Amino acid sequence: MKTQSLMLTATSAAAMMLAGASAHAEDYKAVILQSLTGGAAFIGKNVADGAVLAAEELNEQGFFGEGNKLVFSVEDDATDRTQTLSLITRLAADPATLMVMGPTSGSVALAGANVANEREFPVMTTTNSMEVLENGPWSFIMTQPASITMPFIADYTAETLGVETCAVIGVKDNEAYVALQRMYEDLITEAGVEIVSNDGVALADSDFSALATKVASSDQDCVFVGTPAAQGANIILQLKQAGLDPDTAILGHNAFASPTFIEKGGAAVEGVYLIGAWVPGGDNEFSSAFAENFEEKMGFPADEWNAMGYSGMQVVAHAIRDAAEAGNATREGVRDALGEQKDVPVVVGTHTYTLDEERVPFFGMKVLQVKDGEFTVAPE
Amino acid sequence: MTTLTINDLHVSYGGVKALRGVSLRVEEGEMVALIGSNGAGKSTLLNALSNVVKRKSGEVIFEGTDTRGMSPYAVSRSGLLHVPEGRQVLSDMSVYENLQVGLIARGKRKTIYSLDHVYELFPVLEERRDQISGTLSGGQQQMLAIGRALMGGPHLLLLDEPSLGLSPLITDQVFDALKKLNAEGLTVLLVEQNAHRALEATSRAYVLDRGQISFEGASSELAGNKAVIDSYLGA
Amino acid sequence: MLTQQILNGLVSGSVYALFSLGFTLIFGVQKLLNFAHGATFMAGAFIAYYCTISGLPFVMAIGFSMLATGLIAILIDLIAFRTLRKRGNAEFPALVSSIGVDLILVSIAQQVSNTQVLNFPFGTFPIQFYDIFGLRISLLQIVILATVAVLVAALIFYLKKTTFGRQVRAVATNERAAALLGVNAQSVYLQTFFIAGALAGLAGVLIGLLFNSIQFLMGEPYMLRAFVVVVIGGLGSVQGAIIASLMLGVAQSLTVAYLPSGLTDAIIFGLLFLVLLVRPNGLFGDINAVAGGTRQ
Repeated sequence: MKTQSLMLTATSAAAMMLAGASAHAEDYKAVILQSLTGGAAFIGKNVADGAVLAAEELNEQGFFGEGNKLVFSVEDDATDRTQTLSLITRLAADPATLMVMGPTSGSVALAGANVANEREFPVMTTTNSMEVLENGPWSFIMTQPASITMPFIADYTAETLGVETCAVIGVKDNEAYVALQRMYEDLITEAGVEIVSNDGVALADSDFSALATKVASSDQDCVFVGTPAAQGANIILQLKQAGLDPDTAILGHNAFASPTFIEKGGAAVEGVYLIGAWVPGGDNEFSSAFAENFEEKMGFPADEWNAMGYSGMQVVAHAIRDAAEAGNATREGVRDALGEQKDVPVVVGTHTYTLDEERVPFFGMKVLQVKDGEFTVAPE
Repeated sequence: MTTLTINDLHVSYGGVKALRGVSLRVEEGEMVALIGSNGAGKSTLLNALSNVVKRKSGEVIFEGTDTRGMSPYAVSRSGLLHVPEGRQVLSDMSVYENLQVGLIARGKRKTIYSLDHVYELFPVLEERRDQISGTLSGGQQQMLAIGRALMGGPHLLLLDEPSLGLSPLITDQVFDALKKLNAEGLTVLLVEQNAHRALEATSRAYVLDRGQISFEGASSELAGNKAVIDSYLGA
Repeated sequence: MLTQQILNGLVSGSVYALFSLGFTLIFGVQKLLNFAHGATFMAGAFIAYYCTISGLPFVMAIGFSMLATGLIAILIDLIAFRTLRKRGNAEFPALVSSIGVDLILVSIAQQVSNTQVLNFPFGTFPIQFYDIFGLRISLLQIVILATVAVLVAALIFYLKKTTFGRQVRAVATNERAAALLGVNAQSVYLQTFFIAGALAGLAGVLIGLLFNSIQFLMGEPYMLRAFVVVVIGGLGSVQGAIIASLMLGVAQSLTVAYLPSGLTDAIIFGLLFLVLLVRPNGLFGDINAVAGGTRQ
């Protein structure tokens, strides 16, 4: 194994030298297709912003070798299946386009995967839905399925905090959020926690007064809020205003790992537990540099989805470079290289990104807690 | 002084020539009848006078000013008030509120008919001042429509088929009121299909036939001209 | 908890009333559905937010925002409705063009906010709670209930007792007859759009403040509720819209509190169908209003 990877390194070095010697500049074309508008824009727009920054930096650093660069454009799937289908069909018709990073989420991603497999065109969707992988060899997922992430927070709920009863509040109109919430419920139920109530809100809702009153006036050890960051902060704020017992543990999943969460929640979100692939501000050299560069470019701090987009583009870039170095900068070559990515340096989780034999990504998670207005690693 | 002068008025509706060169005049204090069969263009003429329909050519001079280009609301604010066919009361507003809306046309011009005047003329309106006007009988609605126009301080009142759908008894009441108003000095142009009533109430009359004036003269003379009545009015 | 939930529902319902009144008013006067009303509401929250963070005192920010949304609504009338009205039979084209205006406003807001959820800075309005007979009520809730009550009373007074208001109702009942009585329908339209826009803008500010959330899509759920309110209340009926709004608010609170979640919308629309079965013209729509409406 070790010799093999050494040999790989040697051949790729040789290939790089060859490429340099020929001084023939190559353009590798890829498209970032995300939900810039519509219901999933809060994910897609942020992923696209992170991915664009990564692509610009990689080109600047000469990541693809002397004179070579990644030519990318950003397109909007509009959280709309029809638009996605026609866009991917159109992109697939241009033979120079190697792959698509996207579409973003839910049924839109699945529809995109469907047409991509028909056209033999690699797509890396942002979603963590296993259905996308099962759809065919040309469709990939960028984020870890709930089966990988949720045990981190479920174990923390049941084992570390030792709660007995829990109220669950989730998003009812986004598949990805529903999946996360179901996983959490199953895991804590298995661990012996009783779910005393279960409510769903719509992504566009902001009036949680009735829900907050209901939860605050019933008795439970913990409240799990499985919504996007700003909405979650708002729900927690309204829970506290409705008089929720201050000893109740409040937990959320990775969507809360965003500066927005603290900014919107203020004092109300102190003590909230969450999991994050992204530690805001970064937690090693690579991720801190990303945090700094992102804020400088965009004017606001990076959140989890920005970091995911940035990390996803690292994986895409490695796959394209590997394919090129193997002399196979084709769609097939990129697809194969993508499935074989191991230990790609990223800014999320435990800082390396690996796809297993089933092409399921793994990069780890951290349990965090809000302390003094900052995300800190939660006490064990 | 001449209140209204119409010179060579043409109006077309989607290619159909509804009025073809109508000229008539109404002197101050006169009550003039415009009679004619169904479809002769009588309502079109009134609508053209209040600028609800656009004229193609010709002059409409009201108190010395051509009304060309004025909005319907501006025409009524200048004192030319049109009581449309079918009464058109503001059906979900009360009798009193209808009369109050009538005040809008008067604007800052001086009051000619006060609310008391109108109530005196049509006592039923005072009795039913708070009733929703859509629930009034046809005759009461007609009285309300006239009363409402009076509130607007008319220098000329255009009346479109005031007897339509009314019993003879109620028609008598309405015409008595009109005669009384005219005797007090109100200038009226009365459009009627009921030629006998109209000619009996007015001093002069015009007959409109297929968009043109076919006869004009004293009402009494016309009432005695059996040939004209029969051929043009089919009455 | 029941009384607390009813209070929650009344507060939400009173803001629905503020939102729906403008929508009803425009529908009543013009017989047109203004789909851009939700975007006007959203714009109100956005404008007040940006005024507040640039240092304007909050009360002035509200005033400025209402003025601005009133003007936005007038622009909507001029751009999306006026030309269509001239050619007659405008219902469907006006629907489409107002959806167009809605999309433009929403896209602008999305660009401006960078798709982020915004909220008024902490301390914009003092957070203070009172316990009255076991009810937990915030100062903000009291202020909102009082503001809405005063505005609704003022609007009803305006429509019923003033010359301007009578002109609005005259145009709503019979535009042509109103014109023959000297009523300038165009100026009535501008007035109603201004009032509708300003009320929607205020509703946006209050919702943004009450629920800590200002977002480019925030108008959509309120548009949906406005439809329900307008239909249940009786098309174009102001009193009906107010009562239907409060009913809707309370019904929503109670379904969230006592019934399986996720069913709220299904239950609200179930109620809608039930009301329509029993009273096809809505709770307060009378035959005259509808006849007046279709006569144009």
